[in-house]
Amino acid sequence: MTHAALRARISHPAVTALCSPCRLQSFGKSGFMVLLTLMSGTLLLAGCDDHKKSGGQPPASAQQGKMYKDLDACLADATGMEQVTACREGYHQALQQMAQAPHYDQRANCEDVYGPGNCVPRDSVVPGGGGGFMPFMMGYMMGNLGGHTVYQPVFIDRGGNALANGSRISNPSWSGGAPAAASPSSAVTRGGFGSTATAGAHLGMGG
Amino acid sequence: MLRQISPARPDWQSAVEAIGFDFHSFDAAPYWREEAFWQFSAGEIDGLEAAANNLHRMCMNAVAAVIEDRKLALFGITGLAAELVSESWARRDPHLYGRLDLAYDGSGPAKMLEYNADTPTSLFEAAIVQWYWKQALSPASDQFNSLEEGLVERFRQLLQGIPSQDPRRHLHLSCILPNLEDEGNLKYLEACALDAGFSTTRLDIADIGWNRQTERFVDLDERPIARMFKLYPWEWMVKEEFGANIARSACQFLEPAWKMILSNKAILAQLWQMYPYHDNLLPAAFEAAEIRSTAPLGLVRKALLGREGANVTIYDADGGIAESRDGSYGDEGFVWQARARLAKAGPKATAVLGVWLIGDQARGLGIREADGLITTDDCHFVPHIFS
Repeated sequence: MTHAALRARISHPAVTALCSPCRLQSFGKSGFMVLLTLMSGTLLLAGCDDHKKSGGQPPASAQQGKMYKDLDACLADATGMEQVTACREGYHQALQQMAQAPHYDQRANCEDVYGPGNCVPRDSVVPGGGGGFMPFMMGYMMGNLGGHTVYQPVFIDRGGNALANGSRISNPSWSGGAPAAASPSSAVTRGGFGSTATAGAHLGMGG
Repeated sequence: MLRQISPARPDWQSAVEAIGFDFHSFDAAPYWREEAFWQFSAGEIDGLEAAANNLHRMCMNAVAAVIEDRKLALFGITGLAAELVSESWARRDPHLYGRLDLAYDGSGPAKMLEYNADTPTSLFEAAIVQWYWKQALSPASDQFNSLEEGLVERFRQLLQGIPSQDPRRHLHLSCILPNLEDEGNLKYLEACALDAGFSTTRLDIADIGWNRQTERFVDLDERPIARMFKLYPWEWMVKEEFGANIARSACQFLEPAWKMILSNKAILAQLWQMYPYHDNLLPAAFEAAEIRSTAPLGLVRKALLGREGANVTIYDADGGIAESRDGSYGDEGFVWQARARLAKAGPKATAVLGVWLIGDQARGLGIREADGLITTDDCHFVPHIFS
Protein backbone atom coordinates (compact mmCIF):
# COMPACT_ATOMS: atom_id res chain seq x y z
CA MET A 1 0.00 0.00 0.00
CA THR A 2 1.31 3.40 -0.86
CA HIS A 3 1.25 6.28 1.52
CA ALA A 4 -0.90 8.17 -0.92
CA ALA A 5 -3.46 5.42 -0.64
CA LEU A 6 -3.28 5.65 3.11
CA ARG A 7 -3.91 9.35 2.99
CA ALA A 8 -6.89 8.76 0.77
CA ARG A 9 -8.37 6.37 3.25
CA ILE A 10 -7.83 8.27 6.46
CA SER A 11 -10.09 11.24 6.54
CA HIS A 12 -9.81 13.82 9.25
CA PRO A 13 -12.67 16.13 9.95
CA ALA A 14 -11.69 19.35 11.65
CA VAL A 15 -10.80 18.33 15.15
CA THR A 16 -13.28 19.54 17.69
CA ALA A 17 -13.30 16.69 20.15
CA LEU A 18 -10.42 14.86 21.67
CA CYS A 19 -10.70 11.19 22.43
CA SER A 20 -8.32 8.53 23.54
CA PRO A 21 -8.26 5.84 22.41
CA CYS A 22 -9.94 6.87 19.22
CA ARG A 23 -11.37 5.16 16.21
CA LEU A 24 -11.71 6.77 12.85
CA GLN A 25 -13.53 4.86 10.19
CA SER A 26 -13.66 5.29 6.51
CA PHE A 27 -14.24 2.94 3.63
CA GLY A 28 -12.11 2.89 0.56
CA LYS A 29 -12.93 1.27 -2.74
CA SER A 30 -12.10 -2.15 -1.40
CA GLY A 31 -14.20 -1.75 1.68
CA PHE A 32 -11.03 -1.57 3.65
CA MET A 33 -11.58 -0.18 7.10
CA VAL A 34 -8.96 1.67 9.01
CA LEU A 35 -8.78 1.47 12.73
CA LEU A 36 -6.63 3.98 14.42
CA THR A 37 -5.39 3.38 17.88
CA LEU A 38 -3.23 5.76 19.74
CA MET A 39 -1.72 4.71 22.96
CA SER A 40 1.37 5.47 24.94
CA GLY A 41 2.95 7.48 22.19
CA THR A 42 2.58 4.66 19.70
CA LEU A 43 0.59 5.18 16.56
CA LEU A 44 -0.92 1.95 15.40
CA LEU A 45 -2.93 1.83 12.24
CA ALA A 46 -4.29 -1.54 11.26
CA GLY A 47 -6.48 -2.71 8.42
CA CYS A 48 -9.37 -4.94 9.46
CA ASP A 49 -8.37 -7.54 6.94
CA ASP A 50 -4.94 -8.00 8.31
CA HIS A 51 -4.77 -6.58 11.78
CA LYS A 52 -3.58 -9.87 13.12
CA LYS A 53 -0.75 -9.88 10.67
CA SER A 54 0.24 -6.34 11.54
CA GLY A 55 0.21 -7.18 15.21
CA GLY A 56 2.58 -10.05 14.67
CA GLN A 57 5.08 -8.30 12.46
CA PRO A 58 8.29 -6.79 13.68
CA PRO A 59 8.33 -3.00 13.50
CA ALA A 60 9.38 -1.64 10.14
CA SER A 61 11.75 0.74 11.82
CA ALA A 62 13.44 0.85 15.16
CA GLN A 63 12.27 4.46 15.43
CA GLN A 64 8.66 3.42 15.26
CA GLY A 65 6.44 5.08 17.77
CA LYS A 66 9.00 7.74 18.52
CA MET A 67 8.17 11.40 18.40
CA TYR A 68 10.55 14.06 17.22
CA LYS A 69 10.21 17.82 17.37
CA ASP A 70 12.01 18.19 14.06
CA LEU A 71 14.20 16.48 11.50
CA ASP A 72 17.39 17.29 13.41
CA ALA A 73 16.12 15.55 16.53
CA CYS A 74 15.33 12.46 14.49
CA LEU A 75 18.71 12.49 12.75
CA ALA A 76 20.48 12.82 16.09
CA ASP A 77 18.64 9.70 17.23
CA ALA A 78 19.32 7.72 14.07
CA THR A 79 21.86 4.97 13.87
CA GLY A 80 22.71 3.87 10.36
CA MET A 81 21.69 4.99 6.93
CA GLU A 82 18.36 3.21 7.00
CA GLN A 83 17.19 5.25 9.97
CA VAL A 84 18.60 8.45 8.53
CA THR A 85 16.55 7.78 5.40
CA ALA A 86 13.50 7.01 7.52
CA CYS A 87 13.94 10.33 9.34
CA ARG A 88 14.03 12.29 6.12
CA GLU A 89 11.19 10.44 4.44
CA GLY A 90 9.16 10.61 7.59
CA TYR A 91 9.63 14.32 7.91
CA HIS A 92 8.59 15.01 4.33
CA GLN A 93 5.64 12.67 4.50
CA ALA A 94 4.50 14.26 7.73
CA LEU A 95 4.66 17.62 5.94
CA GLN A 96 2.57 16.13 3.13
CA GLN A 97 0.09 14.83 5.68
CA MET A 98 -0.49 18.44 6.69
CA ALA A 99 -2.94 18.50 3.78
CA GLN A 100 -5.24 16.43 5.98
CA ALA A 101 -4.60 18.35 9.17
CA PRO A 102 -7.44 20.20 10.88
CA HIS A 103 -8.19 23.65 9.55
CA TYR A 104 -10.40 26.56 10.45
CA ASP A 105 -11.98 29.47 8.61
CA GLN A 106 -10.79 31.99 11.16
CA ARG A 107 -7.39 32.34 12.76
CA ALA A 108 -9.15 33.01 16.08
CA ASN A 109 -10.99 29.68 15.95
CA CYS A 110 -7.73 27.88 15.30
CA GLU A 111 -5.97 29.73 18.10
CA ASP A 112 -8.80 28.81 20.46
CA VAL A 113 -7.64 25.22 20.12
CA TYR A 114 -3.89 25.57 19.62
CA GLY A 115 -3.08 28.79 21.41
CA PRO A 116 -2.24 32.31 20.31
CA GLY A 117 0.42 32.52 17.63
CA ASN A 118 0.30 28.82 16.86
CA CYS A 119 -1.80 28.96 13.70
CA VAL A 120 -0.74 29.85 10.17
CA PRO A 121 -2.57 30.45 6.90
CA ARG A 122 -3.32 27.04 5.44
CA ASP A 123 -1.77 27.81 2.07
CA SER A 124 1.52 28.72 3.74
CA VAL A 125 1.91 25.04 4.58
CA VAL A 126 -0.16 23.18 2.02
CA PRO A 127 0.51 24.23 -1.58
CA GLY A 128 -2.81 25.21 -3.11
CA GLY A 129 -4.37 24.65 0.30
CA GLY A 130 -6.98 27.33 -0.19
CA GLY A 131 -8.08 29.63 2.60
CA GLY A 132 -8.28 29.16 6.30
CA PHE A 133 -5.84 28.52 9.09
CA MET A 134 -4.21 25.48 10.56
CA PRO A 135 -1.97 24.70 13.50
CA PHE A 136 1.74 24.73 13.17
CA MET A 137 3.38 21.32 12.90
CA MET A 138 5.20 20.92 16.21
CA GLY A 139 6.82 17.61 15.45
CA TYR A 140 6.24 14.28 13.81
CA MET A 141 5.94 10.66 14.74
CA MET A 142 6.34 7.32 13.12
CA GLY A 143 3.81 4.55 13.41
CA ASN A 144 2.79 1.33 11.80
CA LEU A 145 -0.12 0.58 9.55
CA GLY A 146 -0.47 -2.98 8.37
CA GLY A 147 3.25 -3.54 8.60
CA HIS A 148 4.04 -0.28 6.82
CA THR A 149 5.71 2.61 8.52
CA VAL A 150 3.56 5.71 8.43
CA TYR A 151 4.30 9.24 9.48
CA GLN A 152 2.09 11.85 11.05
CA PRO A 153 2.50 15.47 11.99
CA VAL A 154 2.10 16.17 15.71
CA PHE A 155 0.32 19.25 17.00
CA ILE A 156 0.20 20.72 20.47
CA ASP A 157 -3.02 22.25 21.74
CA ARG A 158 -3.21 25.22 24.04
CA GLY A 159 -3.36 22.89 27.02
CA GLY A 160 -0.01 21.41 26.05
CA ASN A 161 -1.46 18.12 24.83
CA ALA A 162 0.19 16.41 21.89
CA LEU A 163 -2.21 15.49 19.08
CA ALA A 164 -1.77 13.31 16.03
CA ASN A 165 -4.28 12.15 13.50
CA GLY A 166 -7.06 13.95 15.30
CA SER A 167 -6.39 12.27 18.61
CA ARG A 168 -4.65 13.07 21.81
CA ILE A 169 -1.49 11.14 22.50
CA SER A 170 -1.40 9.95 26.06
CA ASN A 171 2.00 10.01 27.70
CA PRO A 172 3.83 11.52 24.74
CA SER A 173 7.55 10.89 24.83
CA TRP A 174 9.69 13.12 22.69
CA SER A 175 13.02 11.66 21.65
CA GLY A 176 15.70 14.30 21.71
CA GLY A 177 13.61 16.87 23.56
CA ALA A 178 10.10 18.24 23.39
CA PRO A 179 9.30 21.18 21.15
CA ALA A 180 9.29 24.57 22.78
CA ALA A 181 5.85 26.13 22.93
CA ALA A 182 6.86 27.70 19.69
CA SER A 183 5.06 30.28 17.66
CA PRO A 184 5.21 30.17 13.87
CA SER A 185 7.76 32.96 13.87
CA SER A 186 10.33 30.49 15.10
CA ALA A 187 10.50 29.06 11.59
CA VAL A 188 10.48 32.41 9.80
CA THR A 189 13.34 34.85 9.57
CA ARG A 190 13.12 38.24 7.90
CA GLY A 191 15.41 40.94 6.60
CA GLY A 192 17.37 38.68 4.27
CA PHE A 193 16.69 40.95 1.30
CA GLY A 194 17.23 44.68 1.00
CA SER A 195 20.58 45.10 2.74
CA THR A 196 22.37 46.37 -0.38
CA ALA A 197 19.93 49.23 -0.82
CA THR A 198 20.02 50.02 2.87
CA ALA A 199 23.81 50.11 2.85
CA GLY A 200 23.99 52.59 -0.04
CA ALA A 201 22.14 55.83 -0.59
CA HIS A 202 19.28 54.37 -2.55
CA LEU A 203 17.29 56.78 -4.65
CA GLY A 204 15.36 54.62 -7.07
CA MET A 205 15.68 51.78 -9.50
CA GLY A 206 15.20 53.57 -12.79
CA GLY A 207 17.89 53.47 -15.39
CA MET B 1 10.67 64.60 -34.61
CA LEU B 2 10.32 68.04 -33.08
CA ARG B 3 10.51 69.42 -29.60
CA GLN B 4 7.57 71.79 -29.23
CA ILE B 5 7.18 74.42 -26.56
CA SER B 6 3.73 74.65 -25.04
CA PRO B 7 2.51 76.24 -21.83
CA ALA B 8 2.14 73.90 -18.90
CA ARG B 9 -1.34 73.59 -17.47
CA PRO B 10 -1.60 76.21 -14.71
CA ASP B 11 -2.86 73.53 -12.36
CA TRP B 12 -0.60 70.76 -13.66
CA GLN B 13 0.46 69.65 -10.17
CA SER B 14 -3.09 69.02 -9.02
CA ALA B 15 -3.99 67.58 -12.44
CA VAL B 16 -1.31 64.90 -12.23
CA GLU B 17 -1.84 64.31 -8.51
CA ALA B 18 -5.50 63.62 -9.28
CA ILE B 19 -4.44 60.57 -11.28
CA GLY B 20 -2.12 59.33 -8.57
CA PHE B 21 1.17 60.84 -9.73
CA ASP B 22 2.67 61.81 -6.39
CA PHE B 23 6.32 61.84 -7.45
CA HIS B 24 6.08 64.58 -10.10
CA SER B 25 8.77 66.66 -8.36
CA PHE B 26 11.94 65.81 -6.47
CA ASP B 27 13.36 68.28 -3.97
CA ALA B 28 11.00 70.94 -5.36
CA ALA B 29 12.37 70.50 -8.90
CA PRO B 30 9.75 69.19 -11.30
CA TYR B 31 10.48 65.72 -12.68
CA TRP B 32 7.39 65.83 -14.86
CA ARG B 33 7.87 68.60 -17.41
CA GLU B 34 5.02 69.62 -19.67
CA GLU B 35 6.18 73.02 -20.89
CA ALA B 36 7.53 71.06 -23.83
CA PHE B 37 6.53 67.91 -25.69
CA TRP B 38 7.98 65.82 -28.49
CA GLN B 39 6.09 65.50 -31.74
CA PHE B 40 6.69 62.57 -34.08
CA SER B 41 5.39 61.47 -37.44
CA ALA B 42 3.61 58.13 -37.71
CA GLY B 43 6.51 56.87 -39.81
CA GLU B 44 9.02 57.76 -37.10
CA ILE B 45 6.97 55.92 -34.50
CA ASP B 46 6.68 52.89 -36.80
CA GLY B 47 10.45 52.94 -37.15
CA LEU B 48 11.01 53.12 -33.39
CA GLU B 49 8.56 50.29 -32.78
CA ALA B 50 10.22 48.09 -35.39
CA ALA B 51 13.69 48.92 -34.06
CA ALA B 52 12.69 48.02 -30.50
CA ASN B 53 11.06 44.75 -31.59
CA ASN B 54 14.16 43.85 -33.58
CA LEU B 55 16.52 44.75 -30.76
CA HIS B 56 14.49 42.75 -28.27
CA ARG B 57 14.59 39.71 -30.54
CA MET B 58 18.35 40.11 -30.92
CA CYS B 59 18.68 40.46 -27.15
CA MET B 60 16.79 37.21 -26.58
CA ASN B 61 19.13 35.47 -29.04
CA ALA B 62 22.04 36.99 -27.18
CA VAL B 63 20.79 35.59 -23.85
CA ALA B 64 20.65 32.12 -25.38
CA ALA B 65 24.13 32.52 -26.84
CA VAL B 66 25.69 33.82 -23.62
CA ILE B 67 24.33 30.83 -21.69
CA GLU B 68 25.10 28.23 -24.34
CA ASP B 69 28.59 29.56 -24.96
CA ARG B 70 29.28 29.76 -21.19
CA LYS B 71 30.12 33.44 -21.34
CA LEU B 72 28.38 34.43 -18.11
CA ALA B 73 31.73 35.10 -16.42
CA LEU B 74 32.34 37.91 -18.93
CA PHE B 75 29.26 39.54 -17.42
CA GLY B 76 30.59 39.05 -13.90
CA ILE B 77 27.84 36.47 -13.39
CA THR B 78 29.31 33.54 -11.49
CA GLY B 79 28.41 31.03 -8.81
CA LEU B 80 24.88 31.22 -7.49
CA ALA B 81 23.91 34.01 -9.90
CA ALA B 82 25.06 31.92 -12.86
CA GLU B 83 23.03 28.93 -11.64
CA LEU B 84 19.90 31.02 -11.23
CA VAL B 85 20.33 32.57 -14.66
CA SER B 86 20.85 29.23 -16.40
CA GLU B 87 18.03 27.48 -14.53
CA SER B 88 15.52 30.25 -15.12
CA TRP B 89 16.37 30.28 -18.83
CA ALA B 90 16.16 26.48 -19.07
CA ARG B 91 12.70 26.66 -17.45
CA ARG B 92 11.76 29.50 -19.82
CA ASP B 93 10.63 31.56 -16.84
CA PRO B 94 8.33 34.27 -18.22
CA HIS B 95 9.29 37.92 -18.27
CA LEU B 96 7.05 40.94 -17.91
CA TYR B 97 8.60 44.12 -19.18
CA GLY B 98 11.68 46.12 -19.98
CA ARG B 99 12.70 49.50 -21.33
CA LEU B 100 15.07 49.84 -24.26
CA ASP B 101 16.83 53.19 -24.15
CA LEU B 102 17.46 54.51 -27.63
CA ALA B 103 19.42 57.39 -29.08
CA TYR B 104 17.36 58.97 -31.85
CA ASP B 105 17.04 62.50 -33.14
CA GLY B 106 14.81 61.90 -36.14
CA SER B 107 17.67 61.33 -38.58
CA GLY B 108 19.09 57.90 -39.25
CA PRO B 109 18.23 54.71 -37.40
CA ALA B 110 17.64 54.61 -33.64
CA LYS B 111 20.63 53.24 -31.73
CA MET B 112 20.42 51.08 -28.63
CA LEU B 113 22.07 52.72 -25.63
CA GLU B 114 21.14 49.99 -23.16
CA TYR B 115 18.34 47.71 -22.00
CA ASN B 116 16.77 48.34 -18.61
CA ALA B 117 15.47 44.82 -18.48
CA ASP B 118 15.50 44.05 -14.76
CA THR B 119 14.28 47.08 -12.78
CA PRO B 120 12.95 49.67 -15.23
CA THR B 121 10.94 52.59 -13.89
CA SER B 122 9.06 55.58 -15.38
CA LEU B 123 6.36 53.13 -16.45
CA PHE B 124 3.53 54.97 -14.74
CA GLU B 125 4.59 58.26 -16.33
CA ALA B 126 4.70 56.67 -19.79
CA ALA B 127 1.49 54.67 -19.46
CA ILE B 128 -0.78 57.03 -17.53
CA VAL B 129 0.52 60.56 -16.91
CA GLN B 130 1.44 61.42 -20.48
CA TRP B 131 -1.78 59.82 -21.73
CA TYR B 132 -3.93 62.06 -19.51
CA TRP B 133 -1.81 65.03 -20.58
CA LYS B 134 -2.51 64.21 -24.24
CA GLN B 135 -6.24 63.72 -23.61
CA ALA B 136 -6.36 67.10 -21.88
CA LEU B 137 -4.34 69.11 -24.40
CA SER B 138 -4.38 67.33 -27.72
CA PRO B 139 -7.05 64.64 -27.73
CA ALA B 140 -7.03 64.29 -31.52
CA SER B 141 -3.33 63.39 -31.55
CA ASP B 142 -2.01 59.90 -31.16
CA GLN B 143 0.55 58.53 -28.73
CA PHE B 144 2.80 55.47 -28.84
CA ASN B 145 1.16 53.99 -25.78
CA SER B 146 -0.76 50.77 -25.45
CA LEU B 147 1.13 50.00 -22.26
CA GLU B 148 -1.83 49.33 -20.05
CA GLU B 149 -3.51 46.98 -22.53
CA GLY B 150 -0.16 45.26 -22.95
CA LEU B 151 0.44 44.84 -19.24
CA VAL B 152 -3.04 43.51 -18.50
CA GLU B 153 -2.78 41.14 -21.45
CA ARG B 154 0.65 39.97 -20.27
CA PHE B 155 -0.62 39.36 -16.73
CA ARG B 156 -3.55 37.41 -18.18
CA GLN B 157 -1.09 35.22 -20.06
CA LEU B 158 0.70 34.55 -16.79
CA LEU B 159 -2.58 33.28 -15.34
CA GLN B 160 -3.42 31.04 -18.27
CA GLY B 161 -3.89 27.40 -17.31
CA ILE B 162 -3.40 28.03 -13.60
CA PRO B 163 -6.22 26.52 -11.53
CA SER B 164 -8.39 28.73 -9.36
CA GLN B 165 -6.95 27.77 -5.98
CA ASP B 166 -3.32 27.75 -7.10
CA PRO B 167 -1.08 30.11 -5.11
CA ARG B 168 0.46 31.30 -8.38
CA ARG B 169 -2.70 33.33 -8.94
CA HIS B 170 -1.51 35.57 -6.15
CA LEU B 171 1.19 38.10 -7.01
CA HIS B 172 3.39 39.64 -4.35
CA LEU B 173 4.97 42.94 -5.39
CA SER B 174 8.03 44.17 -3.58
CA CYS B 175 10.44 47.09 -3.55
CA ILE B 176 12.37 49.20 -1.07
CA LEU B 177 9.92 51.28 0.95
CA PRO B 178 9.45 54.10 1.42
CA ASN B 179 10.31 55.37 -2.04
CA LEU B 180 7.60 57.33 -3.82
CA GLU B 181 8.91 56.63 -7.30
CA ASP B 182 9.48 52.90 -6.96
CA GLU B 183 6.23 52.53 -5.07
CA GLY B 184 4.38 54.46 -7.76
CA ASN B 185 5.63 52.02 -10.38
CA LEU B 186 4.80 49.10 -8.13
CA LYS B 187 1.25 50.28 -7.44
CA TYR B 188 0.62 50.73 -11.12
CA LEU B 189 1.79 47.23 -11.94
CA GLU B 190 -0.34 45.95 -9.08
CA ALA B 191 -3.39 47.65 -10.56
CA CYS B 192 -2.73 45.98 -13.91
CA ALA B 193 -2.25 42.59 -12.26
CA LEU B 194 -5.52 42.99 -10.35
CA ASP B 195 -7.27 43.93 -13.57
CA ALA B 196 -5.99 40.74 -15.17
CA GLY B 197 -7.35 38.57 -12.35
CA PHE B 198 -4.47 38.24 -9.90
CA SER B 199 -4.93 38.82 -6.21
CA THR B 200 -2.03 40.83 -4.86
CA THR B 201 0.02 41.79 -1.82
CA ARG B 202 2.51 44.64 -1.74
CA LEU B 203 5.40 44.55 0.71
CA ASP B 204 8.76 46.03 1.55
CA ILE B 205 11.53 43.80 0.27
CA ALA B 206 13.03 43.85 3.77
CA ASP B 207 9.80 42.35 5.15
CA ILE B 208 10.05 39.22 3.05
CA GLY B 209 10.40 36.21 5.32
CA TRP B 210 11.95 32.82 4.83
CA ASN B 211 10.17 29.87 6.39
CA ARG B 212 12.91 27.30 6.85
CA GLN B 213 10.40 24.59 7.61
CA THR B 214 8.42 24.89 4.40
CA GLU B 215 11.36 26.37 2.47
CA ARG B 216 9.21 29.14 1.08
CA PHE B 217 9.49 32.90 1.03
CA VAL B 218 6.56 34.27 3.01
CA ASP B 219 4.83 37.61 3.46
CA LEU B 220 3.94 39.29 6.74
CA ASP B 221 0.93 36.96 7.16
CA GLU B 222 3.30 34.04 6.57
CA ARG B 223 1.51 33.31 3.34
CA PRO B 224 3.91 31.66 0.90
CA ILE B 225 5.13 33.78 -2.01
CA ALA B 226 4.60 31.76 -5.18
CA ARG B 227 5.13 34.64 -7.57
CA MET B 228 6.93 37.85 -6.85
CA PHE B 229 7.42 40.97 -8.85
CA LYS B 230 10.50 42.63 -7.39
CA LEU B 231 11.64 46.11 -8.25
CA TYR B 232 15.06 45.28 -6.88
CA PRO B 233 18.19 44.31 -8.79
CA TRP B 234 18.91 40.63 -9.19
CA GLU B 235 22.62 41.14 -8.65
CA TRP B 236 21.84 42.55 -5.19
CA MET B 237 19.41 39.78 -4.29
CA VAL B 238 21.82 36.98 -5.07
CA LYS B 239 24.52 38.29 -2.77
CA GLU B 240 22.21 39.06 0.14
CA GLU B 241 21.42 36.66 2.98
CA PHE B 242 18.32 35.13 1.36
CA GLY B 243 20.02 34.75 -2.00
CA ALA B 244 21.03 31.19 -1.25
CA ASN B 245 17.35 30.28 -0.67
CA ILE B 246 16.10 31.43 -4.05
CA ALA B 247 16.77 28.24 -5.99
CA ARG B 248 14.80 25.98 -3.63
CA SER B 249 12.06 28.50 -2.85
CA ALA B 250 9.89 27.43 -5.82
CA CYS B 251 9.08 31.14 -6.13
CA GLN B 252 8.72 32.50 -9.65
CA PHE B 253 10.27 35.94 -9.92
CA LEU B 254 9.36 38.77 -12.25
CA GLU B 255 11.64 39.73 -13.81
CA PRO B 256 13.22 36.27 -14.07
CA ALA B 257 16.88 35.74 -13.17
CA TRP B 258 17.93 35.45 -16.82
CA LYS B 259 17.22 39.16 -17.18
CA MET B 260 20.52 39.65 -15.33
CA ILE B 261 22.14 39.16 -18.73
CA LEU B 262 20.13 41.88 -20.47
CA SER B 263 20.35 44.48 -17.71
CA ASN B 264 24.13 44.03 -17.68
CA LYS B 265 25.90 46.37 -20.07
CA ALA B 266 28.18 43.56 -21.22
CA ILE B 267 25.21 42.67 -23.42
CA LEU B 268 26.22 45.63 -25.62
CA ALA B 269 29.53 43.96 -26.50
CA GLN B 270 27.80 40.62 -26.98
CA LEU B 271 25.26 42.15 -29.38
CA TRP B 272 27.91 43.93 -31.41
CA GLN B 273 29.82 40.68 -31.69
CA MET B 274 26.72 38.76 -32.84
CA TYR B 275 25.28 41.50 -35.06
CA PRO B 276 28.22 43.68 -36.14
CA TYR B 277 27.27 46.89 -37.91
CA HIS B 278 23.55 46.32 -37.32
CA ASP B 279 21.68 49.57 -38.00
CA ASN B 280 20.29 49.81 -34.48
CA LEU B 281 23.50 48.99 -32.63
CA LEU B 282 26.41 51.13 -31.57
CA PRO B 283 29.87 49.54 -31.70
CA ALA B 284 30.65 48.11 -28.26
CA ALA B 285 33.47 46.03 -26.76
CA PHE B 286 35.28 45.31 -23.51
CA GLU B 287 38.38 47.09 -24.84
CA ALA B 288 38.21 50.65 -26.16
CA ALA B 289 40.84 49.91 -28.80
CA GLU B 290 38.55 47.43 -30.52
CA ILE B 291 35.96 50.05 -31.46
CA ARG B 292 37.84 53.35 -31.46
CA SER B 293 38.09 53.41 -35.26
CA THR B 294 34.31 53.00 -35.56
CA ALA B 295 33.47 55.73 -33.05
CA PRO B 296 33.82 59.10 -34.81
CA LEU B 297 32.02 61.00 -32.02
CA GLY B 298 34.10 59.49 -29.25
CA LEU B 299 33.61 56.70 -26.74
CA VAL B 300 31.51 56.07 -23.66
CA ARG B 301 32.63 53.92 -20.75
CA LYS B 302 29.80 52.34 -18.74
CA ALA B 303 29.91 50.26 -15.55
CA LEU B 304 28.44 46.82 -16.27
CA LEU B 305 25.87 47.13 -13.48
CA GLY B 306 25.52 50.91 -13.32
CA ARG B 307 22.09 52.41 -12.78
CA GLU B 308 20.66 55.88 -13.30
CA GLY B 309 23.68 57.14 -15.20
CA ALA B 310 26.12 56.34 -12.41
CA ASN B 311 29.73 55.53 -13.32
CA VAL B 312 29.36 56.66 -16.93
CA THR B 313 32.13 58.63 -18.63
CA ILE B 314 31.70 60.19 -22.07
CA TYR B 315 34.84 60.97 -24.08
CA ASP B 316 35.18 63.31 -27.03
CA ALA B 317 36.73 62.08 -30.26
CA ASP B 318 40.06 63.59 -29.17
CA GLY B 319 39.96 61.59 -25.92
CA GLY B 320 39.02 64.45 -23.59
CA ILE B 321 36.26 63.88 -21.04
CA ALA B 322 33.01 65.44 -22.23
CA GLU B 323 31.02 64.42 -19.15
CA SER B 324 31.44 62.01 -16.28
CA ARG B 325 29.31 60.77 -13.43
CA ASP B 326 30.54 59.18 -10.23
CA GLY B 327 28.79 56.39 -8.43
CA SER B 328 29.15 53.23 -6.46
CA TYR B 329 29.37 50.85 -9.43
CA GLY B 330 32.30 49.68 -11.51
CA ASP B 331 33.99 47.03 -9.39
CA GLU B 332 32.29 44.54 -11.69
CA GLY B 333 33.99 45.95 -14.78
CA PHE B 334 33.18 48.26 -17.66
CA VAL B 335 32.17 48.14 -21.28
CA TRP B 336 32.98 50.63 -24.02
CA GLN B 337 30.42 51.91 -26.49
CA ALA B 338 30.70 54.30 -29.39
CA ARG B 339 29.18 57.65 -28.56
CA ALA B 340 25.80 58.30 -30.17
CA ARG B 341 24.18 61.49 -31.32
CA LEU B 342 21.36 62.29 -28.89
CA ALA B 343 18.28 64.37 -29.60
CA LYS B 344 18.83 67.94 -28.47
CA ALA B 345 16.44 69.28 -25.85
CA GLY B 346 18.18 72.63 -25.38
CA PRO B 347 21.62 74.23 -25.77
CA LYS B 348 23.17 71.52 -23.63
CA ALA B 349 20.22 69.32 -22.78
CA THR B 350 19.59 65.96 -24.44
CA ALA B 351 16.73 63.48 -24.69
CA VAL B 352 16.73 59.69 -24.55
CA LEU B 353 13.84 57.62 -25.88
CA GLY B 354 12.70 54.71 -23.76
CA VAL B 355 10.68 52.19 -25.74
CA TRP B 356 8.80 49.79 -23.49
CA LEU B 357 8.63 46.10 -24.20
CA ILE B 358 5.74 44.28 -22.60
CA GLY B 359 6.40 40.60 -22.98
CA ASP B 360 8.06 40.46 -26.39
CA GLN B 361 6.25 43.40 -27.92
CA ALA B 362 7.07 47.12 -28.10
CA ARG B 363 4.05 48.87 -26.57
CA GLY B 364 4.96 52.44 -25.73
CA LEU B 365 7.40 55.31 -25.51
CA GLY B 366 8.60 57.55 -22.70
CA ILE B 367 11.07 60.38 -23.19
CA ARG B 368 13.45 61.64 -20.55
CA GLU B 369 15.49 64.79 -20.86
CA ALA B 370 18.81 65.40 -19.14
CA ASP B 371 20.46 68.76 -18.54
CA GLY B 372 23.65 67.34 -20.03
CA LEU B 373 24.73 64.25 -21.89
CA ILE B 374 24.09 61.60 -19.23
CA THR B 375 20.55 60.70 -18.28
CA THR B 376 20.43 60.40 -14.48
CA ASP B 377 17.84 60.42 -11.74
CA ASP B 378 17.81 64.23 -12.09
CA CYS B 379 16.22 63.92 -15.52
CA HIS B 380 12.79 65.14 -16.60
CA PHE B 381 9.99 63.14 -18.12
CA VAL B 382 8.51 64.93 -21.14
CA PRO B 383 5.35 63.75 -22.95
CA HIS B 384 5.04 63.00 -26.66
CA ILE B 385 2.44 62.77 -29.41
CA PHE B 386 2.45 61.66 -33.02
CA SER B 387 0.23 62.46 -35.93
